[in-house]
Amino acid sequence: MLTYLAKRLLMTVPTLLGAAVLIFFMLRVVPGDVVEVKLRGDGASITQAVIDAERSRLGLDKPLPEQFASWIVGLGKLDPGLSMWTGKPVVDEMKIRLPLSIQVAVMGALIATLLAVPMGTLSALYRDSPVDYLLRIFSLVGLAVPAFWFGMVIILLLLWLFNWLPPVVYTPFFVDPVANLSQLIWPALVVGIRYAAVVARMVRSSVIEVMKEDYIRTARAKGLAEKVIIVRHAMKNAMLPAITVIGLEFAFLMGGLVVTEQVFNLNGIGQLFVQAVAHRDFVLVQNIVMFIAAVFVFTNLAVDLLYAAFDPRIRYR
Amino acid sequence: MTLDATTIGMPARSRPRPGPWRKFVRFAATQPLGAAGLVTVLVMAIAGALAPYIAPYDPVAISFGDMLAPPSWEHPLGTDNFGRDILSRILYGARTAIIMGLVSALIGSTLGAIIGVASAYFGGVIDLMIQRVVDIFLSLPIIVLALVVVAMLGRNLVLGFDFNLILAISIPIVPNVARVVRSSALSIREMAYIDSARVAGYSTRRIIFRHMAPNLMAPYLIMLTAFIAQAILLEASLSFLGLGVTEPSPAWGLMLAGNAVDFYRQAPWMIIFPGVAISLAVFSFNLLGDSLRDWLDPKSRLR
Amino acid sequence: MKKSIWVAVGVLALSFLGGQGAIAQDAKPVRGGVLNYGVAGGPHTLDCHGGSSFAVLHHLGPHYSTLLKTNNKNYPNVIGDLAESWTVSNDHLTYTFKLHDNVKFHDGTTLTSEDVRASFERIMNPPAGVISSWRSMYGDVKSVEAPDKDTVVFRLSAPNSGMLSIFGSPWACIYSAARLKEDPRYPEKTVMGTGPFQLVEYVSGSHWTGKRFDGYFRSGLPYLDGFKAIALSSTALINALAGGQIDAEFRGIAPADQQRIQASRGASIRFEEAEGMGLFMVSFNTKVKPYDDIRVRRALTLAVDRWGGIQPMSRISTLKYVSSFQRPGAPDALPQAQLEKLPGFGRDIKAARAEAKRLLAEAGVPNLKFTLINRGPDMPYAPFALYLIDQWRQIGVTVDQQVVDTANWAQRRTSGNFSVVVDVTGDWGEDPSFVMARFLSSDSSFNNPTGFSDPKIEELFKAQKLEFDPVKRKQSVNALENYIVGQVFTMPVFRTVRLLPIATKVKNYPVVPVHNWLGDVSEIWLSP
Repeated sequence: MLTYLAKRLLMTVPTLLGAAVLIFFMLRVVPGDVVEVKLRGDGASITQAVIDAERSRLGLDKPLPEQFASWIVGLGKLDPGLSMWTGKPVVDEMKIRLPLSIQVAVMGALIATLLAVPMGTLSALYRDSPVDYLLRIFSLVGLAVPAFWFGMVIILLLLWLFNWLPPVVYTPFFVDPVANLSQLIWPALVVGIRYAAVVARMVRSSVIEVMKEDYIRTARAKGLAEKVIIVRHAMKNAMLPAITVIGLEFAFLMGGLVVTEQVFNLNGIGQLFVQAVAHRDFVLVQNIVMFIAAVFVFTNLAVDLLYAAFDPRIRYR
Repeated sequence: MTLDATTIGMPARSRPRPGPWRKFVRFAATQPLGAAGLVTVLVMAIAGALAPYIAPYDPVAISFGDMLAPPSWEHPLGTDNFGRDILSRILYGARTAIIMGLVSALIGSTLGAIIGVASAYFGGVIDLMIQRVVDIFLSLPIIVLALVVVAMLGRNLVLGFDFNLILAISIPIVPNVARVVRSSALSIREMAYIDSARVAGYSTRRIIFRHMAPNLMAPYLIMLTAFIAQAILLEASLSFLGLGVTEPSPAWGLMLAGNAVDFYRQAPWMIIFPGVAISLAVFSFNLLGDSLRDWLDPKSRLR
Repeated sequence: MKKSIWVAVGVLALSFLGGQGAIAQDAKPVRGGVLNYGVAGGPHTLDCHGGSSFAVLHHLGPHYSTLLKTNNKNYPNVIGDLAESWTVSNDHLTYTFKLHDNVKFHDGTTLTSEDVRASFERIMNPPAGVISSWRSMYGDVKSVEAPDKDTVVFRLSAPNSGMLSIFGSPWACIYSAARLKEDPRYPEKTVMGTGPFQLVEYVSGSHWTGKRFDGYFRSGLPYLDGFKAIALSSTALINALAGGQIDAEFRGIAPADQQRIQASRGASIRFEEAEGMGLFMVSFNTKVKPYDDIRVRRALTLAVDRWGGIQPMSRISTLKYVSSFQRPGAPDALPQAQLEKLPGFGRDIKAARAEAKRLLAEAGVPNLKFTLINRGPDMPYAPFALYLIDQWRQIGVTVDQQVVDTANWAQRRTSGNFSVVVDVTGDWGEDPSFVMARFLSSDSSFNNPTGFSDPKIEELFKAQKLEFDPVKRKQSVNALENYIVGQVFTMPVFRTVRLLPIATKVKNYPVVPVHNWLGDVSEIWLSP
């Protein structure tokens, strides 16, 4: 087990390094740079001398490999650098926004799990019945409705029907739980419903698979009550693939947050990313992407380890 | 066609093949939902293809006199804040969505499948290297990757469609398909008839194209439909963020972008119809994909 | 449908009148309350000297004082902020300012002329690592001295009729000389000035709060206990205004937004407007054929029906005025009769289009085709370009639009990677000496992307700069404007309206055209 863990951990290094190289050089090909946006974006009359001075100050005139090296070295020292847009440390900019995104993600995952597990199980147990069809259509709709449209509609309905808007400023949960939840429940719902759709389908097929297994037949032959069979034997084993999907989709959630935070105007990592790309704030974009990539890679790793822990065959590959 | 003990090993061409109409009828009978999905998709595709002929108005024609008109006989779905007919824009938008979705998914899936098969077939160091690169791309969420690629590439119109956007959407699809196809290909590679083909001296190309590929069609098709849906959604999201299709091209996501939201009270139809269109398209493709999977997957037929 | 537009107009008119009524009552200012307003962007720097976007000043404005400031009751004149009085020598080369005494910084130290001197020195000769965006505006200033603790003297190397306005720049925040000596970059990290409010908290991307500075040198001010500036995207801004979570926005909204907010908030909000500072124009790359031919450029500006298009444009976008380079209400603006003689500004669009077609044929490109580089996805770039394309179509010119994001647009514009590009100005003030400076020949200008060079422009510009008699100066500026509009290297089309949503309880905020400057927050009060 330990060698498996070590091997997998080692493999994350070239992946992450590759992602770093990829994002760094992709960004440098993007036309436009942060200085022009900052200083001329609003139509102000700024001289070329000022533009050049700022470019030099940000180190944008240094050769690319040098810029890359200083970034990577900085990462090694746990110093991702300064945002090119505000000049503040990337760590500070991200620290402010991370709690919100994580909270929405966790709430979304909770909603998803609470919805999807019962839905998927019911769907599997009453396969091909009207209940099954209904739930399958529900999850397909959940997958099909674009998140940004769903969010837009929610806000507009709230405004129209109740003349009420979620709070615009983020308050941490422990400071004011009511304000916090009344702001974040809506994006969590939007994110969670899509998440639920994916997980429900997985749960359904996983439970179906498990119910076909021999040991379930044996349990039935032994005369165990159906409920006991389902809860004690089937669910336990069906949950493993479901958990892996929950875990993997959590990482995918990061992508969904990009659009959802835009619609709900949340000061989270997703919105920071979109703004940073618009601003051509290379340093910030690189670091956010690396962060997301790291989350992905380590979540995948955790899920694989979980699998390996439960399924010994995998370890000896 | 089914992969069972009697058909494995036979070269693809000599198996008896039912005609396409028979296949469709059988499909519709066993998978009614999937058939519904397929029909919806076809209707949308045809509507989109025929848009220049059936759209009542020019989708980019501004008409200040007719702004924000509610649905009526002249404008079945109303007009937007520029007086542009929404029905016409939805029809042309279908064209954009389906073509961009189809082409991106096709390019992405095919490239991904090729990479996956090559990786599985050659194995060893090549497989390891390819897998590392695939992992790197997989470590980035689809929209993050697409966003950066869009920013990188700018716009490049080919036959009226932004080819760079198509590329940007297809790039995240490649690693996803590659990974799945690789695992399918790996399991096929282990099968006896591939070994015997190799021993018999068949060339690599022949083995891949005539023996492995036909058996990979099932996962490929399933992934393709799933990714067409994903691509349509991705294009809508990018256009919504202002980074995909740009004015004045009609695109569903674009119709919801910008200050369309401001008109929600005066003209809710501006917001309702494009959203419904996107949802319907994605829903239908997903339905189709799901049913295809149920139909093509031999395991699920052993009921 | 048309009926509901009239109803909306009626509601607007009533609300406007209602707002006027409230101001006329002129109740006595009440101390207390916190003003919540929205800003469509975060500050990209905490150092005024390095800023260039409204988002910077909308946050920093309440914390700093400047030497002179815009007189919002007598726009566009300047009034003293830190300066109590000033004199200008007869040769216009020496400006002497007498400062208020008893001005305190937020950290308790007293302001002296040395602080003013050091701040201006920093703007004009920035030390290494400091970005001074507006340095070139002070090109005529030879030196700044602080002969005694209440006096600051500026010596110019050449007369500049716009110099007094330039001293009123909201970007020239006054910093503490002592702190600057310790660290010339301190303003990038700390907000510490002499303004009416002190910084309490700044959470990047979320909000910025300030509280009353009790040592503010104008006794009795500010009335407000504090303010909170909330960062919101443009859509969220309108939602927040409609939902009552913010009470004002100081850059400006669109008429469609106004209707939406009005519908939700009814009588608790009013809308005030002034001509805005956003001029939307089209720039040609005169180094690329056939835009090097003035006939082609003339044709393209003649084709656009400005007077006919402004009506519908003003309903769907923030563009409300037909305008040349000067704001129509500016002191030195072209008289209407002169304006209508300029190419593109005539009233007879049929004749203009016929002339345009003739010019194109003469220049050899009767069926011109090109790609217009536009910026997106913000408003009002989209409707602006769509209108232009429609107008050009009517003289047989086929235009395809390429929308790129701001960074891409800025780069293409600067590097000349365009034939025809949508261009915009967003000046902080009105004086021709800096508003018109961008239209100087490409090699000497601040921001002229067209590659056009003509010494006559420099000549006319210099003439107006040296002219101090208001009547003569106006004639001089008119001559300059006539000439550059005629050369059509950049063609002005429409100007924005500064339409501000302000809750009725927010009193004493006169609206002026400039949106970069936040305004005088010390004089705002909230009715209970």
